[in-house]
Amino acid sequence: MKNEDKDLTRRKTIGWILRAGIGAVIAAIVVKTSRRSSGGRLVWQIDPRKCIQCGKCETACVLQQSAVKCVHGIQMCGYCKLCFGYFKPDAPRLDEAAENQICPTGALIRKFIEPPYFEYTVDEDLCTGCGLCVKGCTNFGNGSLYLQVRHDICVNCNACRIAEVCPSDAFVQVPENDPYLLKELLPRET
Amino acid sequence: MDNKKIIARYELLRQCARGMAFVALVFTFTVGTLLSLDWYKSGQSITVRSEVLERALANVRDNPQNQAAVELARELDQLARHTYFNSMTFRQNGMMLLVLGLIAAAAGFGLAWRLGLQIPDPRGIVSANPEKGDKLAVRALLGAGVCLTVFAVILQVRHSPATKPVADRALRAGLTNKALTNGQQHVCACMLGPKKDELMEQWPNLRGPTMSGRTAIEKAPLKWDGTKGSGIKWKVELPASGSSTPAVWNNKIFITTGSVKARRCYCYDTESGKQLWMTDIPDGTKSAEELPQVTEDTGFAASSPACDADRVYVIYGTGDLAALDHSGNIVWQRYLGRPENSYGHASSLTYQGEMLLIQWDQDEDAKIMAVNTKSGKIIWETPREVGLSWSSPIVMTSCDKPIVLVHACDSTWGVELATGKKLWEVNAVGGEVAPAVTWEGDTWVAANCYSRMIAFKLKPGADPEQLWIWEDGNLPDVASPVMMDGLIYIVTDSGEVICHDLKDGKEVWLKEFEDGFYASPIIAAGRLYAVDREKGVFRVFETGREGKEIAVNPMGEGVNATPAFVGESIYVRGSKHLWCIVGE
Amino acid sequence: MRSNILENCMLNIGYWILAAVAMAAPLTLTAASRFPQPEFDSGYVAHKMPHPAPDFAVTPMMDILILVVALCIAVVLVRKVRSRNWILFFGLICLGWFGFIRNGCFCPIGTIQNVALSLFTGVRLPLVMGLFFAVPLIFSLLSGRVFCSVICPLGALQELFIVKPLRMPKSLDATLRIIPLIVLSVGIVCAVNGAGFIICRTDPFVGIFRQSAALPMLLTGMGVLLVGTVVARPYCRYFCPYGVLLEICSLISWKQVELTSNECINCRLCVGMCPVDAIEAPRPALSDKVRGRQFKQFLYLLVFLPIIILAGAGVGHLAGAGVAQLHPGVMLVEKWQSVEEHDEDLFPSIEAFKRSGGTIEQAKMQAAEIVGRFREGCMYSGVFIGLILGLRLLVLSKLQGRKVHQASRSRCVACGRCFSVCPNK
Repeated sequence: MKNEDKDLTRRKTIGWILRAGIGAVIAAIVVKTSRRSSGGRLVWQIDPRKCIQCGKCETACVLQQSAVKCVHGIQMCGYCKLCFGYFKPDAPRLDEAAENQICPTGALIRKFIEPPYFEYTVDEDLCTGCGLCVKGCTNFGNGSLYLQVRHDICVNCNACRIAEVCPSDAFVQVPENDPYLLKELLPRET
Repeated sequence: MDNKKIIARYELLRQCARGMAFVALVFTFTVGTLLSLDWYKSGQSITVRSEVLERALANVRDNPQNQAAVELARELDQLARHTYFNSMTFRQNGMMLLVLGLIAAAAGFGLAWRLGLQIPDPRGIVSANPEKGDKLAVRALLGAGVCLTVFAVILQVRHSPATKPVADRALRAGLTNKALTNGQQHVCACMLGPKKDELMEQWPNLRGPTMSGRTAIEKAPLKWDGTKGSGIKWKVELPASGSSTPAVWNNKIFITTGSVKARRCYCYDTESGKQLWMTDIPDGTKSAEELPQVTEDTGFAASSPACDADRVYVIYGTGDLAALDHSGNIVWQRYLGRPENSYGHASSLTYQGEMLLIQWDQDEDAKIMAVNTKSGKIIWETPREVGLSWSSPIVMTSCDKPIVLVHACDSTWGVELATGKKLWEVNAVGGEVAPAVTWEGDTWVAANCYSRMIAFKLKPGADPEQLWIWEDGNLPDVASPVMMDGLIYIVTDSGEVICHDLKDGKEVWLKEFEDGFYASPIIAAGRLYAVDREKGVFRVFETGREGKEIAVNPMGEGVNATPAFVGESIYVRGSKHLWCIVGE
Repeated sequence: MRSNILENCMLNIGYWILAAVAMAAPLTLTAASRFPQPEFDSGYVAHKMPHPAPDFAVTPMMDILILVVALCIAVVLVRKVRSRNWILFFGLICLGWFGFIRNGCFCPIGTIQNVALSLFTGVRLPLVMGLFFAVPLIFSLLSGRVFCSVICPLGALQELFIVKPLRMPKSLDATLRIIPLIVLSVGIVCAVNGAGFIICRTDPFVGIFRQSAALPMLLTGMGVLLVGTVVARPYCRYFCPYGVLLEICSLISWKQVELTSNECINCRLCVGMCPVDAIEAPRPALSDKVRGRQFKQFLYLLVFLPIIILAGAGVGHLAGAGVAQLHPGVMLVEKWQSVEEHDEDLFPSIEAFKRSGGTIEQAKMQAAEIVGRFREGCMYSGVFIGLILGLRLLVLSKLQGRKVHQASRSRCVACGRCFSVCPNK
């Protein structure tokens, strides 16, 4: 009987040593990996300086309608009459007719302000995130149109599907309390 | 009796739950099938754009007046948008229904199971001979291990071609430690700067976009007269001296000037010659160190600037490097140190894909370095132990990996553009080396007076192969050679224009003139342009084995700076004026 | 096709811009952007776009707190309340919260990769993620795998679809249980070496939680659920990489799931009830002959253990090249070698690599380096898998008998079905 008791205590001690060991390993992993971290969550965002408008944002998102949409940094906009994000390069006329617009869904809205300036806004319900307008504006205009992950739509997958296929590594994780990389506020240099 | 009733009621409920579950399952399957069909039809991603629509739009583009085509395109566009948003909604709702159906089925089955709970009969479940099962399990595990091994061997055999160890360590060292992901590679691609074609139409640095003195321009002025003003679009007086080449981007010309008093960058409009702005580049020496000694010939602005679509980059004999935007604001500035140099620093900036290459062959701390055009930070620098030189680095892009030729007395290096790693060294020419090399294809040629002319052919992964040496006759003192179609053209400070054969280095033709040349000759529109430093006579030759002089165009003032050829104009920095030549 | 059209457009735009720049030239001189921001006479004021913040419903610390509280409740339900109904009910609540409200992302299963990535490459990891990884393991160290049946949305979902679970033959079960080890290893090797998060990509249910996914994924999820009607919790038992870690913790846990709060009367009712074959039936003490045989087998296997581990390392090294095919850099080379030269421009990855000045030789070298790293990673994985397999083999040679029914420490996921049928409450 005594022997059995001894055996039991010994087993118990070994058990606790093992548990403490594994617990310590887990704790060490947590401490090591989260050093210097703020504790907050990270969310996905597009660095507009790296984005090359390949068009994958529109189709790769796990959501039916991509969480990536075009946004307009209006402080950078030139209010051009001939907007390279709005008109197809070979548009027959410079008016709002469908055949002249780059945007396939008419999500970029053009409003006359005063000669010769026009204001451009994005209708997010229509925007598919294809980035065609962004391409025009970035290459030939001021680059005030750019793509961003909209956080009212994004479900924040741990492994973002678009980030996996992004050819220019433009997808980065940013802190949840500063979730946008607004081009107009970013320093110019990458 | 009551009990039975309750049991019957339970049974009914259970039946209902089961029925519900089955209905939900059938529903789920129907939705799933519909979704699958939709999927099969239009694939994973649906977009608004379609081939039919594109064709209709192209039709409108080609016949903008055809009202019917326009109407059709608009109608199709409308239809496409409708279809797009409808199918989006369809899929979204479909998925929602699918999940709801699943939940309903689960709930039904769960309820039915709870209501009709029957404890399974445990008899026969517990094996009478557990050891047998254990033994089988051991065998199964071992078998699985063998299967895994076979599988691994198959994988190894299938994928071994791409996994061969790399023999060439030099090449391997060029790779970063962690292999780049696709995305990073792409960023690198974007970092390479403006598209090659765009660059080819500009004059981003000394001796043109390829740094070989050869341009792809098809039309260039042939005849003009600077003394009479014919064929001259405009000329403006230069406010200060310098012998650097103008850099030109679209409609802006950038000129650097330097004196003991001030180092400046000027910008002129290509259309009117109007001065757009002028910026003083402040001294980088904080310690009020004395300016380095330079000869009058060299001055403080002998190094040519470079430019790209956003910036102009300037370097002076004081050791100051700066980047200005196209409006003249200094974006960054870097003090490279005091050049210890008997004549003064004269090596020019070489622009290569968001990098500036600087050959810093000084008495102390000689090096070749690459500076990031965006930030002014040093990307790499490789120290050198060579004598003074005034030559400029040249990038050969014809090989697999761009190679920088760093040319100095008795030692020319081949340096990997990406890393700054020295790949090889050859002894090309001796003496005080000011001319840069020229290249075409995989061949490069160097020449220096009182030394020799020599040609090399690049060999991938090995030292370059020496083709020939030519040691007779005059050779250039300052001007760099230029080559095209197997012929090398050189101009000398004693006034000769000489053509050599690339095959053996032998002289093909030689013309002698009164005044010597400092400005490097340029080949444009198939013609060789050379301008002398005393009277500034622009001589134009046909390239080829005859060497026919087809035009003699006096400028009326000496020219030391290599002219810039952009569009159909030549921009020349004379000793007193900046000229825009369009020809008669 | 589309890229061609785009190229054409861009070319045309090129001509346009020349005209535009010429027109706007006097303006562009003073401003940094190509077209300066105008000043308006009409009193127009620009409205900046609103940018909605992410909606997480709770703060990160609250997230952790909810997880800890839920685990505590689960422990109480399993150990004190001991009611299948309550466990089921609470499981549904957790399924709603962690699954459908929080969209099933992130979950402890996926955080394995984040933690591994951070551990091996030094990437910063948010504390909340580290805790999400650690907390269920700590709980499992204390009281078994309560996380699996109650908290884990994947487990809770599968739990609902258990209709008529079949008994898995022990040999088949042992073989299939190798898969989670492989998934765990490959997942970590891929995550660390930049081949993406394989474990997240193979999660079959996340599409159901957010009601939006590529259809094949959704159908796979439904397929797994259907299989789950007869093979209980197939994902948990034969795929889940986090289960491997939980199992290790659970094996040495302080407390474990107890079949009955009283003395076991060996009625065997629970054995038939258990959907995951987690109840170990009593065994008579072995006869000396059998015991001797078993002991011999045990000794053989013990000698065999180092060989298994070494073999694991070798197999891992060999398989590394195959696993590396999941890396985009290696895929690039595969594709490059298979396409004709004139078709190369059709593939953006090849085009991008070429534009960076890279040649196929360089791509091959990079791929070779990646493969090298994968081989190394897979070798260590092989050692790990070999070790676990060896230990499992040793455990199969049982030497001692057992008098009562017991819940298996490694398999039991605390669903509570056995509680409901135990006659000796």
